[in-house]
Amino acid sequence: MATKILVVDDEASVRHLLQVMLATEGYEPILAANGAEGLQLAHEQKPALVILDWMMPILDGLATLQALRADPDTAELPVVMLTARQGDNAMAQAMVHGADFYITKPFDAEEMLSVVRRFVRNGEAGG
Amino acid sequence: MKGLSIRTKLVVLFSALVAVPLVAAVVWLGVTAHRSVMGAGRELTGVADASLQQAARDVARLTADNAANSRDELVVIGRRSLTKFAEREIQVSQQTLQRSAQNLTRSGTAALQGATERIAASSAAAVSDANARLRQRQRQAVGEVSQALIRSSREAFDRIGRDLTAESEAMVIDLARNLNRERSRRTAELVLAFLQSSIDAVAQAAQEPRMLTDDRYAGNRLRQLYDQRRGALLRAELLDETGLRSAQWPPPLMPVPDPEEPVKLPDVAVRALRGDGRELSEVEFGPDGATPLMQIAVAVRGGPGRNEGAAPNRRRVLLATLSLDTLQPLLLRQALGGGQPAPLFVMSREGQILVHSDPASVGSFLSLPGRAGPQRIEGDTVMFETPGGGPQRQLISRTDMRYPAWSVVAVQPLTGLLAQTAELQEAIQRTAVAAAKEMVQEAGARAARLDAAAIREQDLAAAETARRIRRENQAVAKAAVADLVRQQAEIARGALARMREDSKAASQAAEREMDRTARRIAGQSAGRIAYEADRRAKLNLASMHELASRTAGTAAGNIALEAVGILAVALMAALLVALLTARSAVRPITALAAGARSIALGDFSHRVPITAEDELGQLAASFNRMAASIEASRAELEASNRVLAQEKRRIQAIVDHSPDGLLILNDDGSVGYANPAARSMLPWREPARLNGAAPLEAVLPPALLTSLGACLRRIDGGEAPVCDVALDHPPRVLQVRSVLLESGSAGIGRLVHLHDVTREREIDEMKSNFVMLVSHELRTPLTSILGFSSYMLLGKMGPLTEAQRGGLESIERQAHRLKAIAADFLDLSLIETGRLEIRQEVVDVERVARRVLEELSPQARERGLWLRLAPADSAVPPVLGDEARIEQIFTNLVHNGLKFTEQGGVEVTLTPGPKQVRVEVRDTGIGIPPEVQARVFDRFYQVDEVVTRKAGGTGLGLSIVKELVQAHGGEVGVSSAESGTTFYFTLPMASPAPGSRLPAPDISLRG
Repeated sequence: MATKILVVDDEASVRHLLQVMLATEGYEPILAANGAEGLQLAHEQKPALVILDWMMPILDGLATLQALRADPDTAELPVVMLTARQGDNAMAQAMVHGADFYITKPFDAEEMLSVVRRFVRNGEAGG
Repeated sequence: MKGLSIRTKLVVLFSALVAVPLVAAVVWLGVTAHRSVMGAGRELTGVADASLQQAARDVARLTADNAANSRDELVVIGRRSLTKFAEREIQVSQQTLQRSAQNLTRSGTAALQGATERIAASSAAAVSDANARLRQRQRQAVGEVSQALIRSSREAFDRIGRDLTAESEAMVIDLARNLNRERSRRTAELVLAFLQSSIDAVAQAAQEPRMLTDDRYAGNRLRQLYDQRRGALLRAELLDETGLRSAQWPPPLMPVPDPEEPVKLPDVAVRALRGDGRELSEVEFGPDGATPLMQIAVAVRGGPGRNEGAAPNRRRVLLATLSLDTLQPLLLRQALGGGQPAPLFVMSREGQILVHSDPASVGSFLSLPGRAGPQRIEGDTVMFETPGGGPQRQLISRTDMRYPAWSVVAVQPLTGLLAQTAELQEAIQRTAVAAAKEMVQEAGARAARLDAAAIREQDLAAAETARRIRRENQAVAKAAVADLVRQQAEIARGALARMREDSKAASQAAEREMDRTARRIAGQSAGRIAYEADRRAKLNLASMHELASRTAGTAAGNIALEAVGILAVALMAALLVALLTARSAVRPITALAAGARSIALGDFSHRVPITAEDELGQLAASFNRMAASIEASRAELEASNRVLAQEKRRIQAIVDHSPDGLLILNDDGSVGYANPAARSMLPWREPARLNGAAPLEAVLPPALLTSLGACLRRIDGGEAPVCDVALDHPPRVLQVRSVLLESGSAGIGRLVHLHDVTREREIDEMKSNFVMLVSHELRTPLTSILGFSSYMLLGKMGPLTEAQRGGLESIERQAHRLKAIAADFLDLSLIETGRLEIRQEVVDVERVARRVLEELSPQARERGLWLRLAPADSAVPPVLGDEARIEQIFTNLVHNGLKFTEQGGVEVTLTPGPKQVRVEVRDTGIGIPPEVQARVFDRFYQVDEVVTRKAGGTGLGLSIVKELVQAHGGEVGVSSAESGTTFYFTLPMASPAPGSRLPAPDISLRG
């Protein structure tokens, strides 16, 4: 079974890009258009990695992250934040709230794939 | 009163002085006149007597001769001879009488003239003698008056000086007391603010939930806290309730045998854990016994977080050791604020000195002579004598704090301050004595001039008197002599007539006798005739004598009376002269004094009447000139004052109605002035105190004070021409400008200009938000473009033809460029809104340089350019700053260098300086003309449009470099020759001492 990767982004174009890339690389992308949907899918599908957009309607990335961390089931789940924001503030905030890494939009295919490979391998190695 | 009495005194003196000698002179004159006239009479009688006796003797001899010689013929010639004799006799005696009368007239006249001369001379002498004595007395009186004047003015000035000194002393003490009280209060506030900010910093760290769970994070956080409160904080450690230490900073100097060994929790930490709050320990002194240390313990609170449940039973406490030594410079500054050192110290409840403006006293217990303990120092002024230094008066003010229970004591020695008032008194006395001396000299000179004038007048009067006496006496004497001569002549004529009759009768009787007893009688007749003649002559003489005596008496009486009259007139004249002189001498002085008083009272229009052309007149004239010039200059002054007042009103109107706040801050940090806008703009704590030069600390909230102070320091340091200060309630932003005011060479404070830029900042923020939104919105489409193109280029979506690859590469390149532009825009908008945060990390700048060169080397290789890091002469010390931003600076500069270089390359040089590291980025490309070098850091500025377009870029890179370097507290610049450009920038060194390199752990949260 292919490794599940949950992509939470309100932008269809980004979801599409990641879907194509991740599927091509042999992962199983699971797509969610907002935080609430993402939380639900994280519970149900138990993905190996969550790629979580920061700015989203309904439940934004930060709140979603906090909810994931608050739930013992998903507390240890690796989360890579995806954000159009740049600067230390955003980064620091994300890291403080328990993100494992973050990638700034727009990103290079290589950049995204190397991060995914690192966390998925780590996740597999860790159990 | 004083002037009148002097005048009266003078007049009385003068009158007495003139009257006594004059009366004496008159009496003497009378006696002298009488005596001289009597003398003249006696002389006259003597002369007459002698001549008459001679005449009688002649008559007797002739008679005897005749009788003897012609006794016989007598009878014969008797009648003829007798008649002839008688005729001749009468003739002779007539001539004799005439001669003697002439003699008498001559000698009498001479005697009278002599007497007159003597009278005149003696009366003139008496007058001038009297004058001389008068002058002497006058001088004496002037001298006495002058002395009295000096004495009284010196006393008056002494009294004024004493009063003034007492008053100024009271004022000085009062002032010093207020200042001292204020000083201790202000210092207490500063001490509390210091403690509060330290506690806040510790508490802030303690609030972070990760402090409970993440030891590595905690270690970095403690280090950050330590750096933040560098100098004040000696040690920060994180202990759990069992005494296990999970993090500490700085690392222990000596290796700990067993770091896992629990330590005994200090009391303060136990208290903090129990109360779950912030606790302060008692002050203890460090190992050197001189460093006062205090521990701040704050219980670490577990906030909401995913790891909260990880170790629920282990509670932690953050323990920070604070050195109160840090307060010492603050106390010293307050102690030296007033010019003279006035000690300030903080003491504990027990009276131990914790911090002192003089560090030598720290740790000792306060002991004051004659006082039971520190509790006896009450809140206010105490004066006591210090031991050793002799009696010294001091003011002591004490401000008690509640927590910690410390007191700030300010000691203000009064000796120095009071010495100044003593100097003032001395100066007044010196001035007074000098003024009195000057007055006396002036009075002396005036008296001398007055004296000379009086003498001249009196001498003239005396000479005139003498002339008149002489003239009158001469007339009287002439009349007397003429009278005398006339009477004598009459008497002589009468005598002659009687003689003629007698001799006729005698010759008739002799004829009859001769007839009868010619012979018998012949012998006796001669004797009888002689006898008779003698008797007659004697009788004649007696009457003459009596007459002369009577005449002389009368004349003398007349002369005496006349003299008395003349002298009375002279006396009156002299009195009048004296009175007039005295009054005319005093009047101008009185007028001058009145004029001076008027001017002193402000009546500058007062003029002194000019009464004479003498020195007083000149004095009055120059006084009037002075008054006129004072009046004129006062009028001028008033005119310019009016102009100034008008100007002031205008400026006041501008200042009052200015929408911008204007503050004058005095050099001592107090508020000198605040216009209405400033009063309404700032959240003053006590607006009422603004009127009285209140210290800024007392009237502004501490937070605002801190931000305003930091702002002013930045302006003063030339870091920025303006800066913003944010206010909380209501939220507002004030733009601050500051100008140091100077008067002459001395600073007199500063003008602070407050401009409400809340609206502008809102607009700026809206603009920046817009820019951020746009740059964010750009990113989403870019994500697709860049993501797909780069992914396709990896060949993962099927094989690509050359043309497809070329197209995709172009798409990818342009997407990267667009991404860079969006990033630059965002950076600039962050910088503009002040939202760019510069972390303070210890950064290995050499490592950053290497990394950037490595990253950019493919790009350089592609264009056939080289990139290299020049070997440094010495080890490059770490700098303080934000690693990501420093990397951005390097990237932008190296990228910029590559962009404008066609062949050659870019070299980076790192040069350690005393306090900073200088970085140079040198390229071998086209140079920058000198005239545009200053503009290359401007936004959107590009030297050459064509080159730029070819090279690509937003024109924002250098502008961002400049902002970032400045945000790091460094400098940036450019120098360029014909070919090649060198950009340089500096970064502050993390540790100013070279050689003591700190380890450079990466405490950023990225790793």
